[in-house]
Amino acid sequence: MGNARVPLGRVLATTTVALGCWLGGGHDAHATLGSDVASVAVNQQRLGAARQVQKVASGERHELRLPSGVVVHEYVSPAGAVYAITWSGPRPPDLRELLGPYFAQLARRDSYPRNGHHHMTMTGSDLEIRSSGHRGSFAGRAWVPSLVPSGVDVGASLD
Amino acid sequence: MTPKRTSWWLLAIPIVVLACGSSNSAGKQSPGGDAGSSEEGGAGEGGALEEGGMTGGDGSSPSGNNVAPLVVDNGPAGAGGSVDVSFISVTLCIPGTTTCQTIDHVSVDTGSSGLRILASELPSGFTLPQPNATTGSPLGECFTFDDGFTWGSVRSADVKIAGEIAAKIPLQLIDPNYATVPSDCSSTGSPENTLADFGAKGIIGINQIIPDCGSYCADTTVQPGGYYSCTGTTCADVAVAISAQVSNPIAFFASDSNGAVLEFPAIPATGAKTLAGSLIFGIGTASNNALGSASVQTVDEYGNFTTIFNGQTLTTSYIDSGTNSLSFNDSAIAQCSDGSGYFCPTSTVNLTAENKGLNGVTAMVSFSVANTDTLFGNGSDTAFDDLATVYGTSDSTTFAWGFPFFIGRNVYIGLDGAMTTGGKGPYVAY
Repeated sequence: MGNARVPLGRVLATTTVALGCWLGGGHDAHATLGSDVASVAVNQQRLGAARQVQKVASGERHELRLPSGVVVHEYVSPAGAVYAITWSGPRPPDLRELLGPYFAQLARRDSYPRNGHHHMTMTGSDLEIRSSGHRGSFAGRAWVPSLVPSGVDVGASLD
Repeated sequence: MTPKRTSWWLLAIPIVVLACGSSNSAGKQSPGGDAGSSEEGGAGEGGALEEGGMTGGDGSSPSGNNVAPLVVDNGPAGAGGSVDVSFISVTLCIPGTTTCQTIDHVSVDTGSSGLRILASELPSGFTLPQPNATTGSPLGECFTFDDGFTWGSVRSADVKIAGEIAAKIPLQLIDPNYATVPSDCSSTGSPENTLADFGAKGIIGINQIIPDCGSYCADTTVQPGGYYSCTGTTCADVAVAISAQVSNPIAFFASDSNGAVLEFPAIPATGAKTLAGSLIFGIGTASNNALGSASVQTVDEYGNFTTIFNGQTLTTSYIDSGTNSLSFNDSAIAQCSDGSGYFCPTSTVNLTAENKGLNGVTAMVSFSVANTDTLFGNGSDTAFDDLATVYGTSDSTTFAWGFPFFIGRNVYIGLDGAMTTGGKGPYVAY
């Protein structure tokens, strides 16, 4: 899949593994948020992404670069749980894949509070989502409050 | 499971407001600080404003063939209430006929492109033709807003607003019952295909960049979450040429098609029950849409320019009538205790930022941030020029100038590639 038109100038990290094709509809939603680090590899394969891993102050940050130009960061706690996900890119990502069982809350959420169609704030059951986006530019984060390592300020330290 | 919901969000439903015990005094509560930075309005401080809102400084509203009235109010019945959203009425006609339907409470959104109408708002029997994809099968669309997606069929209509007509243009007919929602559409988030979910009977996107998706959806490499070729109830991703995409209708008017002006008079810092404004089509094409001394700032292919605020250079800032607050990050301003992200300073904060277009033209903007709980404490106002919220994501390069920015201003939207008296778009001017 060519990447010539990725508006944000993202470049696939071809030195890391980019596997397979995006499987499209009909696959099982595999847990990533809230799941273990092995599930990140499954996300990578299903989304056709390249992946890089970086040590951070509290655990690891796994970066997935999707063919659509979206960059996803999955934060893994020292206890081995994916406690937060952030995304940024020209399209919304496949949140069903990334949020796993937490996606159902997003799909069913009430429309309130509203701040127009270009922002979203959602508080669910042990789930927080914040996102903003308008044409060509979407960014957001989702986290599981009960899994966030102590001392990590989700708002300040995750990108 | 339902997300936490704070009672004061349910502004428009008086029964719920009363039942939840929120402050319901008839008089306005003044914010703690003087609204020194907001423009002076004609009605003065305090007191309920009359139905229909205020008019311009000289007491008259713009008029003409190219003028469509806008209203900020509580939104259509059944949509759950609304704050700082402006609505317009749009007439759809079966192309080439006088068989038409007018839809009110279509929200006006400078942050997106294209006309989208709820199928549920059209009477049965009113059938617009549906164009085909290049496959020969009917064309469907999944449009991704940030707070959810709209799904439905693409239709063709003569779109009439005020005295302007865009003949036989594509629009999205939002319909949860159209075909089967594709998985790569629903995977983007929450469906908003009903009046209650969407909050309006439709939306008209009048962004500077005319097609709703652009080259991303025209690429022969099929991208998910855009356009679909639908055979029966099965829809598959398909590329669509820019010329066939749902697009900003203004670009297709027979005249006055190079842009538009949004005009809203100033209001008191405490808010207004409703607010009347105007959407004037064309820039420099008639006596009522001259640029005057407005500062023209060009924008990039996403409608973005730079805002310099608090020493930060925010390079992906934009003006967005479809966001109902000023949205930016500022850790020095207290947020409301319900975690909604709205600001709740103890008293109104007056701030300044500098906007800079790609062309280097700059303009200083003064704005105020009031305590949201105080503003909403009245319970019935629907327009505020000092409503603000955190931007809320990892993105630290954006100041989103939402609808409060439009109050007390004439904001010009110059369309991409269109020549105007202020130069060629895309630009914003004010």
